Amino acid sequence: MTSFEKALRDIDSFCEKEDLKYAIIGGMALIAHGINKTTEDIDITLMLNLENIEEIGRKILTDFEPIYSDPISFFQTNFVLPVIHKETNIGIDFAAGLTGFDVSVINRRVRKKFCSLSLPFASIEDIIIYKLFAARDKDNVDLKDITAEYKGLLNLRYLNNTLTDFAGLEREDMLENFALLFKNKKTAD
Amino acid sequence: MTDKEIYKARAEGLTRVAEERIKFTSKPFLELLDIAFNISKDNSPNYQEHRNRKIIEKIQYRKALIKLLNND
Repeated sequence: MTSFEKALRDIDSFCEKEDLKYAIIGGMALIAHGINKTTEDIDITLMLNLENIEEIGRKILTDFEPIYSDPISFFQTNFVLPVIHKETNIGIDFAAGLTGFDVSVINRRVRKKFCSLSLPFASIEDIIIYKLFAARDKDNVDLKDITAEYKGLLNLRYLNNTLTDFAGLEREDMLENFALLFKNKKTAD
Repeated sequence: MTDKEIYKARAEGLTRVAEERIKFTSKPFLELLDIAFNISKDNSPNYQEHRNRKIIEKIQYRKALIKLLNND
């Protein structure tokens, strides 16, 4: 078992034990969807709210090592709790899923067979939305890879509905960039 | 073919593609990542600095998402 598998196994056991709903996002989720991207850490979105963020943060710290001092305050202020998996030293970043979109990502997660494990990953559509929101150069490269690999397999209705919601909040660029990605793909074909 | 049948077929296709890929790519790729991670951690004096930068990026991303969607 690789170090990443060990860390993922322990995250899943921890969340099961504490009855926490979560989804694996970021590079590890891309790998699980068959798009191999290098990554050095594991990103998790946890379902929680402002009332129980401290309680859940304390639970995380019983199983994982914090990297900063005063980690609970850090989590409450920044909505990300960076920790280390003790056995492997792999970094794990627990993000507070405080928005309706995060809740949707966690509810739509797909439990997939991943090497020796079965784990809950964000759906490919939700990864696309996360990346359209970030819109950094590396996200745009990933988006091109995803659309090339998943052409014809994406839930376009869900994507259009969710991106239309973002457009209503002055992020029209996300919908436009997504349309452009598909337009380019069709042109290339 | 009805909409329902199209969506069902798409979902089955998506699962099949993902499973086939994983069978052939994930394990060796994770082994490669393990090697890269250890080399990077053990030999790069800037590893922690690099990790801190990535954490700051994630915090900014998270705050922007909350600000936009929760109107905070």
